[in-house]
Amino acid sequence: MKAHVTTRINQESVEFLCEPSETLLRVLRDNLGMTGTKEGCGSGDCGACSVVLDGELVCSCLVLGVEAQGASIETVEGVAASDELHVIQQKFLEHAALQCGVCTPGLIVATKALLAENPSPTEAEARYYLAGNLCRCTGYDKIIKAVMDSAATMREGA
Amino acid sequence: MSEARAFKHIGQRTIRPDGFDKVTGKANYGADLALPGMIWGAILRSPHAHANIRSINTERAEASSDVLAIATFQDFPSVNDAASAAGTLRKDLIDTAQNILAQDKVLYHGHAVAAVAARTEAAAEAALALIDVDYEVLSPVLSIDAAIAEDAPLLHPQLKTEGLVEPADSPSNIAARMELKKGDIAKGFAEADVIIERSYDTPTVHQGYIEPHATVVNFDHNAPSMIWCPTQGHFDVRARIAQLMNMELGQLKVVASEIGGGFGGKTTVYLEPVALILSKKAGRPVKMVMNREDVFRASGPASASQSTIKLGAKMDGTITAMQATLHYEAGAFKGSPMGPGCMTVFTPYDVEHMYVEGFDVVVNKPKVAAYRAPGAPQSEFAAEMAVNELAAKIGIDPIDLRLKNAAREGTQTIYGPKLKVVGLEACLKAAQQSEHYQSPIADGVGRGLSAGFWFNIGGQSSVIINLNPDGTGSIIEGSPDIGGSRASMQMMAAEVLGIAPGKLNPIVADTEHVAYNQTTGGSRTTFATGMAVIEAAESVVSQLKERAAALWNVTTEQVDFVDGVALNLAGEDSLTLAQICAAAEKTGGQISGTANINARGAGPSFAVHLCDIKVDPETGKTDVVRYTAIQDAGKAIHPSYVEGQFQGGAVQGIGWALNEEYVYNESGVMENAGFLDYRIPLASDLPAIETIIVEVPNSFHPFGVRGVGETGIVPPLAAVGTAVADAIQKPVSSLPCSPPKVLELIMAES
Amino acid sequence: MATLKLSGALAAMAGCEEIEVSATAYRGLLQEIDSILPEWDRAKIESMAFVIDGEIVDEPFLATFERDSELHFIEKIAAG
Ligand code: FES
Ligand code: FES
Repeated sequence: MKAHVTTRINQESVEFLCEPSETLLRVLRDNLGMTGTKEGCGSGDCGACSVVLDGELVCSCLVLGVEAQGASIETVEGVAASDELHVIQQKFLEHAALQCGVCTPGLIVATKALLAENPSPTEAEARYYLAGNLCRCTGYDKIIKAVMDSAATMREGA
Repeated sequence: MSEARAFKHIGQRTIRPDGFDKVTGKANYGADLALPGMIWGAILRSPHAHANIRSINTERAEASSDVLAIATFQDFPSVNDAASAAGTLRKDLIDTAQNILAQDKVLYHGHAVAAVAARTEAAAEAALALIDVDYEVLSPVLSIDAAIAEDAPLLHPQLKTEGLVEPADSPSNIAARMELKKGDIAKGFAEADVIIERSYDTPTVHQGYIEPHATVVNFDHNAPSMIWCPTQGHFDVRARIAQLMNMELGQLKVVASEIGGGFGGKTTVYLEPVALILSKKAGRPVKMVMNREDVFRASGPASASQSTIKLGAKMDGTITAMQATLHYEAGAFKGSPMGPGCMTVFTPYDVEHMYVEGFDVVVNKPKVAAYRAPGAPQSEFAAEMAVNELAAKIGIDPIDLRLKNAAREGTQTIYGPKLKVVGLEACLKAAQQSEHYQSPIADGVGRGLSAGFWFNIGGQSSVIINLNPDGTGSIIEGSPDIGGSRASMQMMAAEVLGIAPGKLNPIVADTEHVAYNQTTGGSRTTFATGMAVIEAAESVVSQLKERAAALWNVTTEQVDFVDGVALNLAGEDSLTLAQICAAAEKTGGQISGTANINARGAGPSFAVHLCDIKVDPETGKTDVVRYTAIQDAGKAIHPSYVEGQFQGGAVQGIGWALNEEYVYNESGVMENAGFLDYRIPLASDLPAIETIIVEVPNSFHPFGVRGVGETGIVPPLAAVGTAVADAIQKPVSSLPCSPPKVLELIMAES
Repeated sequence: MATLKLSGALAAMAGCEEIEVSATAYRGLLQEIDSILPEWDRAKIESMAFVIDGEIVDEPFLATFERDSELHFIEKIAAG
């Protein structure tokens, strides 16, 4: 029997039905049509499915849809304010920190979580925090530059 | 082409036009499409690495109300005809079909055997258990040595070695042999003071694109059937499916979704034809998505290899002879990149006497696919390791040794052509002068370097540029954008038209909206599709001049067009591109330019990489502490994305050299089919990847472009291997340099 | 006369490493070789790339060359 779940996604309240065995990733993508969150592995190893659940960065492929009950979720779709990009998104573009871009939503969500926890990470801290987000195209160099520049810009703006 | 040419947009670091959608999650990749009424397909895969299929019984599945359609090899109409007709060119098609759905044999663990469609993904997967397959299990052949052994089990009882001097009379697991010669190899060795001979091996590795294969297919009797998929070449997907299904090209419309990485691995078809069969039978759109495990087990990784290199040189550093024997695993069906491996192995060197022999060997592993400069990393790894050892033996700096023997304009390659202007010497000199190479090597750290070569290709591209009445416009191209190519198309068109790049919207069109384009691969897109963009833009410029001439009532010769403005040479008037577009209605209708080209003159790209590695003597763990990639781009259109190609290739090569490998058990089951155990480099594994863009223009391209996508994966293997060997002071001959293997080398008696 | 360089299996079949040809275009070249080497596998050759003085031509059907050109057939290069 399907479960009825009430949750908040990107500050909006959302209701959905899902099988008890369905992951949050499946629910977001297939049931709610929010395909910004990507699936690269389904086993918690690539970070393409990163979302923030009640303030904590998680792999949505490792969370069940029913666990969203009463929770608050942030996905990549909620990072930009309508058509104005978030600083992190802008910096990813300026630094050419994406090639194919399939890892990008996960990395943007993870970078936002990093900078919320630690507004002044060292490069090494950024590299370790983002070690759960695989990127096969870029070799990470430009991603890390974008992250460090985002941090600096956000500190100035704060 | 004048080298001092000043560009307005080329060489700038613009924001890519598709960037907004990609950072906000709006861009649609392979698995992101859902259609009304869509159902799901799933694939039954072989539990054995090598077995005969006695029977496939689908009765129970057919009886199930959950199952909406079933597909097996028998559903390929064309192949069944072709199998009886048995022409040689059809053999490739049959191999493709048998790889997509096995016929009477399974040839690797995970080989697709049958497929079903059901209302949900879970239901489709559950229904696979209703298909009964009776196997006769055979012993698997899992290495080159095992495959070429006298009494090896045969994968294909009909397969005979092609390319032997005397035609083969008995079947073999060696599908092909290739021989390339230059000069007289025996004479070359006779002239040498020093000769070294070494053997090397590299493992099976995967491209590791983050997006798994996926497709949505809607079969249609009355209109072209739609195939949506992430691919490097949607026109070639269309051609392949048309052949397999006996359809006309016009009955198919392939839409390239955004693509989440390919690196050569998305140049073929796996799911698409199966989904088409299921959709046709069920009368519904069908979606299929591979999981990560299937991607590892059943898509196309890169060949494992074994190479023997023999080099001869004089004490002054002149290399007199280079010889190689190269074996490549093809996987289950013939067709490894052994050919390009043989052709590239010694291309960085201008040496009189060379001899190369290559073998294409079938084994019970998935059929390999292209992976960035296919074939070159394996063979050039072996050659460059040996060259570094030669330099050490003669006591000469490895860059000096290379400079002394470097391939340059006019060098006769072993595969035929003489090289045109190339940038190897420029790269070597840039490496030598780099801060990295000049810097001292820290304690416990080893340094390695390597050169690398890839041909690059040109080929067919088709482009349409449409201008709007207000002077904005669109660039309609057919090359899937895998790493930012829309940005370079925009910049090249903007350069010719003299308007801001943002005024032009680049669109990767489906197979119905633009003429044929070759697959994005071979480092061809910025070169060849770029050339088509330039030609289409030039056609637009000549029309703009005609229209301006008509407005001024002068001849076209009296009109010049500079920086987006038409000038009346017979008077003082000028008109901007936008003004001419606004008046297009009065001068003959709207303005658009097309170019359908078969681009020649792709310029090869050489690279040199430098690598410093620290090795922990207790555990064998390696740490890349500094890395620099130096490569000839001809002309960098968008320097950030050029650097990105260098860096991405370097890091894939670092992974290949240090960690990545398919680990098989004795029954041929891959034991590490996931990103946890097949470990690609993480952000925390790496330092900054420094880059130096060398620009030796390719005279065949209007802006001097050379493709840059592939060469970057060639040098890292030997740069890393040499750095590890230098750090531990032991020879390295086998990749990956994973901690247990490095520790074993450290422990071994010298 | 242009020179066609042969290697590997082609050279073995022809029994030499180069042939002088009077053709000045790809199509004529194929016909000329048909008459010199009737046993060669034309379908296989047509599937190969053609090299004229160092320039690789993937689709050589209409290609022409000079009287002193050096010509090769090579494997088509795979795309990665
Ligand atoms: S899809 Fe969730 S971590 Fe890879
Ligand atoms: S940009 Fe392709 S995986 Fe990161």
